[in-house]
Amino acid sequence: MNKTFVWGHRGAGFRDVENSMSSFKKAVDMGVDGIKTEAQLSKDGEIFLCFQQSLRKNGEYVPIKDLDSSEIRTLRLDNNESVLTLSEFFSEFKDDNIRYNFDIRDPEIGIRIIEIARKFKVIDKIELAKPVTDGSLLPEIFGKIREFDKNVTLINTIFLKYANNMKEHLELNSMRELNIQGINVKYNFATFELFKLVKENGFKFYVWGLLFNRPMQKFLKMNYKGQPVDAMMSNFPDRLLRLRNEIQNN
Amino acid sequence: MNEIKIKDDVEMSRIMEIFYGFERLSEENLEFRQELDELKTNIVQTKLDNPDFAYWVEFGNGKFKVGKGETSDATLNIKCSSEIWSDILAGRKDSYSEFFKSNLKIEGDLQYAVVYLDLLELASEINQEVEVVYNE
Repeated sequence: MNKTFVWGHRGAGFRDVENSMSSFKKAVDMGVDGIKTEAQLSKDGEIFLCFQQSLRKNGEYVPIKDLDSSEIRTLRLDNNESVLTLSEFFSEFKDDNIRYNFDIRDPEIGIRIIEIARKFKVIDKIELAKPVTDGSLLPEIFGKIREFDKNVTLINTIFLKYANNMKEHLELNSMRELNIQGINVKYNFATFELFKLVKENGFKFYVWGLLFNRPMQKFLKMNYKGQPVDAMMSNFPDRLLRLRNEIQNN
Repeated sequence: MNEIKIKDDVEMSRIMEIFYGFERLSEENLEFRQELDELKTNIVQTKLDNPDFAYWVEFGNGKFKVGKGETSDATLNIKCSSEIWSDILAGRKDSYSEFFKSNLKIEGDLQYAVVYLDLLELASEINQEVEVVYNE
């Protein structure tokens, strides 16, 4: 049986300052298979890894898209590290055997990530995902990206508003047309029936938001026709990796 | 008028009893305490309306503490009607759907709000199992 892929959310998001270089390094040292983070585009076209769409500058929140990269570089995270650029991130980890998954709010961000990933020769290691708080339809966020790159891995994420009637919002036809490879579901709503439906339609099934041992164990034991849940995301990747080794090695 | 007041008091007592139950669980149940050990401390102020009522929860670093009234130390603020909050706690309504309908308002770090809501769900699940054991 294959093993479930473990994504470190924002690095080791609850073990360090999330989306900082030290958090990403910590996750890689823990042994994650990939890093899941968020990408924002500055005014001058630089990608920064940051969940917030606005940053605090001189006491006021300013959208990242209205800031130049030189301004963003002067800002500091809680651990006094700078906000990372995608280039800095790839420079650090390009030789590690890990994948990268980026939440993108805008097709332009996705296209810029692809350009940078090509430059670093890691295009086959990246995935672009719709954020969980994004209610737009798949062609709106992924249409232009798929035109730009026929092969990059794209991941659908079910908008949290539709969490309790997900089956109606899977957009399976759009997923086929746009060659979107997987669906990412918050663990509370990731039922076996949904897992089965997604796998029967030929897509990968990702589960996000895992913090507690109980749901981690539940999803690590879940399988359909001998195949486990494809990937799980956690701010505590060390816990998830330990449990995966205990459960899926047997 | 008195009937409404009594009904409101019953509703508030019912909500507080759920949270005092979670507080007891944090002292008596190893699984819940271990999960609380992993989380950093957050203080959640919940303000309910119709009937108006406020209470706070401190969770993380191994603790789950509850108190009536308002605190100035809150890191998260939740506002909701008592009816909808009761339905969420009972599992009859989903917190995320209510949030996007603006029936559940959250101020503060949304990521930790999600953690809090997931923690309440976990506590309910463990509590139900504990109750089954006690009743067998």
